[in-house]
Amino acid sequence: MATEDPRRLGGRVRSDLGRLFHDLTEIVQPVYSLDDESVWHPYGDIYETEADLVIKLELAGVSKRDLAISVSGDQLTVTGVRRDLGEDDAKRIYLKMEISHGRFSKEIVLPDHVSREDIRSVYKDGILEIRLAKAAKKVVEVKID
Amino acid sequence: MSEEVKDIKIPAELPILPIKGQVVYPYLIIPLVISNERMIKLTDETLVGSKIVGLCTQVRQDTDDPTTDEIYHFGTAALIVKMLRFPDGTIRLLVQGLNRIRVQKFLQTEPYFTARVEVIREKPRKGIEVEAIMRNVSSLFQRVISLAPYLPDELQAVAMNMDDPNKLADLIASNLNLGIADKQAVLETVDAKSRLEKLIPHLTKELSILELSDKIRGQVKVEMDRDQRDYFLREQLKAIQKELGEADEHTAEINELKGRIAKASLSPEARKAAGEEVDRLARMPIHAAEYTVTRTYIDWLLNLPWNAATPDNLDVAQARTILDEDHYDLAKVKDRIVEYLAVRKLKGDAKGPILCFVGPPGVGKTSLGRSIARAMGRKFYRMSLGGVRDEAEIRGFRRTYIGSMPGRVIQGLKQCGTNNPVFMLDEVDKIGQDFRGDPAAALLEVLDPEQNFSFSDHYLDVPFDLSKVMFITTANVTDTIPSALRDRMEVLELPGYIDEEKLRIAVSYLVPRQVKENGLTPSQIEFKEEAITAITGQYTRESGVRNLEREIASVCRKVAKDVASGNDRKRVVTAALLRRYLGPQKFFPELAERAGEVGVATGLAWTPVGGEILFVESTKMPGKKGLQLTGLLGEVMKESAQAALSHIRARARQYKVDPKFFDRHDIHIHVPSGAIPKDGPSAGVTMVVSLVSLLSGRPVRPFLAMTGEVTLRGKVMPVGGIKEKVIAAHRAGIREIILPTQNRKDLEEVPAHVQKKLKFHHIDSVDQAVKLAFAAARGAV
Repeated sequence: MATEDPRRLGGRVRSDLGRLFHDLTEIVQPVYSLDDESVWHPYGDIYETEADLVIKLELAGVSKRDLAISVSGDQLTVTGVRRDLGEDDAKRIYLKMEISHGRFSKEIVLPDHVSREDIRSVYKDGILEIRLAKAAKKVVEVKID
Repeated sequence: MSEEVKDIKIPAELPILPIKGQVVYPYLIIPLVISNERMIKLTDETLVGSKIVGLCTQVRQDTDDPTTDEIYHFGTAALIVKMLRFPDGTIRLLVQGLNRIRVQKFLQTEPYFTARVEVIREKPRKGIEVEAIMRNVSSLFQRVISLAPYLPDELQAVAMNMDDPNKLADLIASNLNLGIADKQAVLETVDAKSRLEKLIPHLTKELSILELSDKIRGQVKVEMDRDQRDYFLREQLKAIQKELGEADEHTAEINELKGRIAKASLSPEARKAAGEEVDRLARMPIHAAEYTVTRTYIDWLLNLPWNAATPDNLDVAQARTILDEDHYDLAKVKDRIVEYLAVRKLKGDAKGPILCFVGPPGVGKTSLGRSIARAMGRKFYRMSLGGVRDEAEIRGFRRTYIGSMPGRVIQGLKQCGTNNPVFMLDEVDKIGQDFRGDPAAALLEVLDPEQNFSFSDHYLDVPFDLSKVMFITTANVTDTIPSALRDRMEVLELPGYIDEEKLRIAVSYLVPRQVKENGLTPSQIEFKEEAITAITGQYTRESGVRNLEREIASVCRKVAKDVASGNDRKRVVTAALLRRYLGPQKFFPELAERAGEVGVATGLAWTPVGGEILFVESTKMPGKKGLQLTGLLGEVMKESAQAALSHIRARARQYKVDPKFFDRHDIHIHVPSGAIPKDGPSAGVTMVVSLVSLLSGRPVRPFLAMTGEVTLRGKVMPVGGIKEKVIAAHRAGIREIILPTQNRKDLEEVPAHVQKKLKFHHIDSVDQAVKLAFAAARGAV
């Protein structure tokens, strides 16, 4: 038996979901995700240096093997999976389960002035760092015959 | 990335978590609270494994521990996303629906349900038909969102971008106010098109309810807005006044009233009552109906002259001068007033006597009251009691009644502004009485010096001291004054005026007053004395001078018209000119036409408006012992006529009458005017003389009038109203009057100059009267 939390009858309102648990503010996605079922979205910082656009994602506990980065047009996508962190303890009883696990994705729209080719990434201490070199805008002249 | 990670794999065997009051669709994220031991165990064990449970809605919502038959066998597989255990052992979960599942078989029921399930894969079916229904449903849903206060507007964007018919249907179903059975039906409908179709009636119904309630809300809102606006503005006003250091209107009014009460000179009872009422007022909202009522009451309390009084003028000589200035003669009344002032002077707290002026209309009763007030230096208030039939007019209405106010006594005092005015109660003999109580009884309390120091008006409900008020009442007759009331008053008679008095009054008071009131000056008009005498004789017949004054006014107006037209020469009004001003003569001396007829004798009558002369006519006709009496005679007068007839029959020989006249004749006695009721025994002598004249064929001497009651034996008894009768006789041109001897003393009241003009015969028996009436031989007169 389980009932809907009476204080959260607005569960159908997605913005309420974020407030459900104090530390679950990242769940502000639509209830009906249009892209896929049950994904979570890691936190990220994005900043520019003189040379690069830097993206850092917080992905602690994710194995490098389970990470994938792809660029398609203006969109850079990071996907992967965080496996259950408690798998080592076969007999366990949760008191709290806050860390999102399972599949995640992060989509970042890239500005025009960064290269789509010159991309470097490092995964260290649970942080994935992606660097995209800034490139001068290429103006292609089209000759008129 | 391995294939295994890409898809969340739903195990074929799932723990089943029954849920209450809610149907979970795929993609729906929902918080759950779990307190049941068995379900906690289910959660704990699931979290170690796949973290996926099957959510099945309970058929019955009123149980916490359903059996497998009490839950729907069609549900949703859901992933537990977050979990938190509370100190009391309950668990809070955030779960996300994944896929529809159908329970194929329950594998275990203890400690919790597990079942083999079939995962239902929904096909994203597309086509023109599905597209059409999608658009239809979507637009309905958009309208529902815009009207429904419980749905956030951002849902519109989400629904708009939804292109999967399955997801759209689930989204709408989860957001509509549907019953559990309906929601479950939507869940169990696997085909997208059917699922959307199922939603259309629900959406339409919801929409019409929302539109209706929107309309109602609109109407209510208009009303509410107006009230709220008023309230809001009023509160703002209060806040502004507070900021400015001013009290708001209500508080200001209360403070003002408190200030006035503190300053006002009130009786202790009144002060207490006023204080209590102000306290009540302070607690009352300003727009309460009773607010005004209470406010008015306090005003009444504050405006009454509790202690204000005018100082009395106790200079006896000066008072006498003022009284003489205003009124001619009336010596007895003036003496009484001066006496009262003298007593007041010697003994400060003399209780006000209640004087009652009795006399015919127009003799100056009311103006005498005004004059007394002037002589004493007091305020004057006049209140007419004529036709007052409601006790409340005197004593006020209780405050429970709407529009209640104090009685006329209190109103009068408020108007005067002093507690010692001369208060004239006019027409006390015409006070009425009906089911609304007896005003005379209320008047008793007002007039009685023993109780009027604490007169309690129903409206005020606080005693008021009336003992300093000088009450004067007036009446035309004393008979109709309630006897209890009459006892408390000192009656002063103001008899009618004779022609000479009227002349003096006219010359000294009425003419100067009317000349002034019509905007003339003495240089423009002059009344000859003979003109005034002519007016009193030919144009008026009254005891007072009211009509005399009216006729004088009429002459003045006509002169004023001339003067205003530019003709400025002085007019001298003479008797001869009166016809021009007043038209033909209105009254003729009654006597002239009646003199010398057989069977007619002149009597004297007394009426409330003064004396009158009257004629007794008798005639005989062939018949036998019939007596007819006409002229609206009362019982006493009829009997007195019968006694007169019997007396003559018994003394026929003595009166030189045929003893057998009654065997051959019928007698008819008539007293004109036939329309005026008459009664009383005082015409006895007149009837005897009239009958003797008729039966003996001798006319009665002219210019002779008579009055007196006759006994069967022929003795003459005294009668009342001598003064009025004598004055009336004089006015009518009578020269001799026959009176009962015992009435001799009453002649003292008759003015000396009237007495001088008349010859009085005093008789003890009726045969003396007969002798006098036919004493033609004496011839001298």
